[in-house]
Amino acid sequence: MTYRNAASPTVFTACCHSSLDDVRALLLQVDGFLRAAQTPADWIEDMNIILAEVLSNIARHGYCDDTGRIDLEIRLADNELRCRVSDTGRPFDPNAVGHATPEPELLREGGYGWFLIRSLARALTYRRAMGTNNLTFWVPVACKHPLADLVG
Amino acid sequence: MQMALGESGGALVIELRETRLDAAVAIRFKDAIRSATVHPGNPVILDLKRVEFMDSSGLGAIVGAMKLLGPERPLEIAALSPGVRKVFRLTRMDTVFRIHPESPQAQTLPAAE
Repeated sequence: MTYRNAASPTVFTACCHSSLDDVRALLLQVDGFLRAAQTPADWIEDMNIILAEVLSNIARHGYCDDTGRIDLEIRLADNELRCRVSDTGRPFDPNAVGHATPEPELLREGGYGWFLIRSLARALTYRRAMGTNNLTFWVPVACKHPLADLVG
Repeated sequence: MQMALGESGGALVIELRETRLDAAVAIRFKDAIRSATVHPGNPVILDLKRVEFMDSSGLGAIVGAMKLLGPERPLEIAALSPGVRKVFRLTRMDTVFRIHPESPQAQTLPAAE
């Protein structure tokens, strides 16, 4: 189950269950929203990668089954995409992870997720409040952006 | 997990017929590679031309497939989309795999499971 809130060309709010199939469905909705807003492909790629890592981490590690709720909000501004992800799963402070550059020759099969998030997201902030994990970040977008007209 | 198998100059070509290689399919991908590589051919070339998106689980599954095949049967990658290339580049895993810019011209083999 995924649920997307009423359409605004510059704000995307939606929620999904903590299953990897739901996460995938939500990511496809985000991709459609960003394409409809004519976001440059490079930044859509960045957002897709960051959100895939954040949401699948919550689905796999934050909740003990696939019935947990994940909330997502993306706001488009003229030069950035602001994003917030909330869940009520286990507390998880990302400040401790993803700082080390991967060593390719070790051929690890995991552990790249938070490194990718840190490589692409700006101002990554985590807060735990009232039993809820809140992760916020933004992705910069090219200055000359079609949305500049929309956002005003 | 849809795959098409081919042969190209002694190599086994596995074309992934999926648009996403992500956490939802990573385990199925490794199983499918295990089944497909009972066919002969060296090296194994994984053609990703149809894959528009790959996350770190997908990357991990490709690394797992490489380890499964062992050093005598290298796994090479072909035809990366910009988003997939970005994940290889950021993690520097593009230094581990031989990456072909284009899909190989392959003779089709009987369909994989």
